[in-house]
Amino acid sequence: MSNNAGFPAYTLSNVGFVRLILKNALRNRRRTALTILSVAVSLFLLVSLRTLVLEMRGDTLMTKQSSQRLITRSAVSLQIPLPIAYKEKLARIPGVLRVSEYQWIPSWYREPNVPLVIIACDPKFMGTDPQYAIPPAELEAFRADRTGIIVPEKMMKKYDWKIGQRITLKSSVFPFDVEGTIRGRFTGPSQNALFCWFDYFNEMVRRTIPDRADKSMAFVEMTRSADVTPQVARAIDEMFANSIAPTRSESEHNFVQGFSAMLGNVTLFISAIAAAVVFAIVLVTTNTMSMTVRERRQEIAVLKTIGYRPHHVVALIAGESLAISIAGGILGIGGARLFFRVFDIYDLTNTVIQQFNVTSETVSFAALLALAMGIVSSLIPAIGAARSPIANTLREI
Amino acid sequence: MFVPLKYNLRNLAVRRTATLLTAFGIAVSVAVFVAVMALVEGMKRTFVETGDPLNIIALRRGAISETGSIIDVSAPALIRNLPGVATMSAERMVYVNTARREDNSSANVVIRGVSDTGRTMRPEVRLVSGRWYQPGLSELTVSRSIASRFRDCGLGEELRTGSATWKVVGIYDAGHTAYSSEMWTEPESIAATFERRAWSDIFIRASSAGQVPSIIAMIEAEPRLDLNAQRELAYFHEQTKAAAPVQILGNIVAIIMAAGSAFAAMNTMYAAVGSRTREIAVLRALGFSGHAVALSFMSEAVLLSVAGGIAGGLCTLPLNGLATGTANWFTFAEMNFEFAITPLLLAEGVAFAIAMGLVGGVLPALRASRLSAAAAMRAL
Repeated sequence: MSNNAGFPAYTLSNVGFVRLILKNALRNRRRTALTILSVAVSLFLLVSLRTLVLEMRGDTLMTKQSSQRLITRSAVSLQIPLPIAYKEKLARIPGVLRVSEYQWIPSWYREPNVPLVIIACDPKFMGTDPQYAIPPAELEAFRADRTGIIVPEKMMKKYDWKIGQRITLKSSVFPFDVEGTIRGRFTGPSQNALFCWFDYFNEMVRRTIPDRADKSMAFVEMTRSADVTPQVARAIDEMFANSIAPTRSESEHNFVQGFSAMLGNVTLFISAIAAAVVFAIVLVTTNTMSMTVRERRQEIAVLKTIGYRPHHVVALIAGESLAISIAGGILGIGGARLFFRVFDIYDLTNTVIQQFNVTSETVSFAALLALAMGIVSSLIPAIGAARSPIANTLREI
Repeated sequence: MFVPLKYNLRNLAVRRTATLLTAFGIAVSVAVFVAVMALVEGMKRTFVETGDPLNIIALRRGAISETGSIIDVSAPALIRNLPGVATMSAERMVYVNTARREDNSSANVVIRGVSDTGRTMRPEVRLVSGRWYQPGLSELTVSRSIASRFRDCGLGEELRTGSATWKVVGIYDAGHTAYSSEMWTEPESIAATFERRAWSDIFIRASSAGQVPSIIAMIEAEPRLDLNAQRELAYFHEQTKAAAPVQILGNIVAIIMAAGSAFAAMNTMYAAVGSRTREIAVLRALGFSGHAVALSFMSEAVLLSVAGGIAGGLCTLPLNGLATGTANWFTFAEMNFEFAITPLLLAEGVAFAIAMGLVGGVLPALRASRLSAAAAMRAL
């Protein structure tokens, strides 16, 4: 029953020790449950904030082909359009496979406060990214109809559109509305833009604001391979450096990231909030563990008397704190993942946020953080408990 | 008969660690709440304080912002002669991609082409150093915050936009208005540099307040114009909605954090009740009612949370007046503002803390009031 140090061996076998930790955790069920809940809601928040930051950076909107796509626009601002004569010149630059105009038409449908964007492009460019799949028959129909429109699947569902339906999208910048027939739909990561023919857009511009005709906000180029993309970008910008409209070319990823950069310190601000959340969790768990230790002072003294070493006491308390963190983590992190799977953020935010993927990387990041916080929170109470002199504590009884 | 508050204060002092940890937790939640709302407040203030009741802004029908509005060059002549129009200024706006000084990230900064008339119509915009731009020279007079926050925008510096070079010849101050996020120049300089002849907006001052509605009605009824007119105040008020996403995010974060803090407060109060079983019994034996005991524990929870609330609010004070900027939801352009921590916001923070304390304290207090004196004594 006892080893030569007069120590009950079974309590130190690993299984026995873990059982002791769990039994301890369950002694004050209400407190443990409240602490787990507190840790869980905080971790839920942490996972959501991190996902928000990642989504804002636009990482999840990228496809494999994104690294082969460049966006060329005026070096001055997106508001200064480029002459469409640039299209031919861009197509001749070595490494460029195909070029399309890229023109935003800010608009809305039925709800003026829900902005949509139509992208006017070269119909031959559509359907070239396998991750934005369009049924072949629909793609063909779009390429055959000058007033055809291709819509994101999610938007199609939201507005209850049908293939072949004629719709009018109200324009919020240009002095014309875009009227066209829905010819197809696409799936894929980005679901906030509709597509129409650039030629159709240009005709309407020519009719209403002739000054602005034959110009495109930007161009998209598809390069031969991801390796040549940076040098193609440089070649383009050098070519137009001394022209009337100098250009700025960048990868699709940088183009999207540029928009979140415009938000300025918002990401920093969100990260600061996340740090505050982490700090709050540590406070809560520390508080629980120190209350627990205080209430168990006498039994800890007894444990020491029967041969527990200080590091056993530390392990006992750290283990309990860790068990609480793990339970809170499973509840909070798992809950966040489940929540954003079940509820579509696209509908919840009225298309403002396109998607909210809690990535495995975020899950493991939060899980590691939860474990670290479990240990950190137990340190002060555990060390205090390990150090407290047996004789003084026992005398209090 | 009430249990004296001193009893609670002393108890909080005796259980220092738990008190501090719980109050800190509440303080963190309150600090986050106040900080986010100070940001929202700052953004809103910028728009609310912009505008004169006599001023009207006309934009292309359907356009939601000046930068997204394209107005035909013939429009100003049609508006100038409308009855009730005192002065009028047709303006061109473009935004240019400009790098921030702090981290080289870029943002769209608006250049407003505005005539001398347009300037006199906005007395809130005052020159503070240098001079106003001259026509035909590609000169800029820049707002104070743009000058300090953006590269090449300081007095005497030169800003390149594509093949054009602008010289910054002056700095103006526009208080907390939307104009404090802009750079101003002559309308013709914009037309020449950016090949943009169309106007962006037409800014009108009515000769009297009574004329404002009729001018708006006449502009909207004129078929040759296809314009939407609204009061300058209403136009900028509408843009306070730019703060809505931050406000929603802030509310969600605050509520979730508050739930976490309330659970923690509940833990602390349960522990307080648990460790003071004997004291409660003594109080009951002395003649204090169950209600009085419950009230006493509730006040203890509230005291704890008020301390946390005040501490959290105080922590955010250094943020007050901190200048920052973000992209305006409506214009896509950089919008400068300052964190604004108002007394009301601090009071809201403390109220928020009290709510956490009440939620956290109510169950433990009920439990304390239900302990029977005899049983509690026996627990010794």
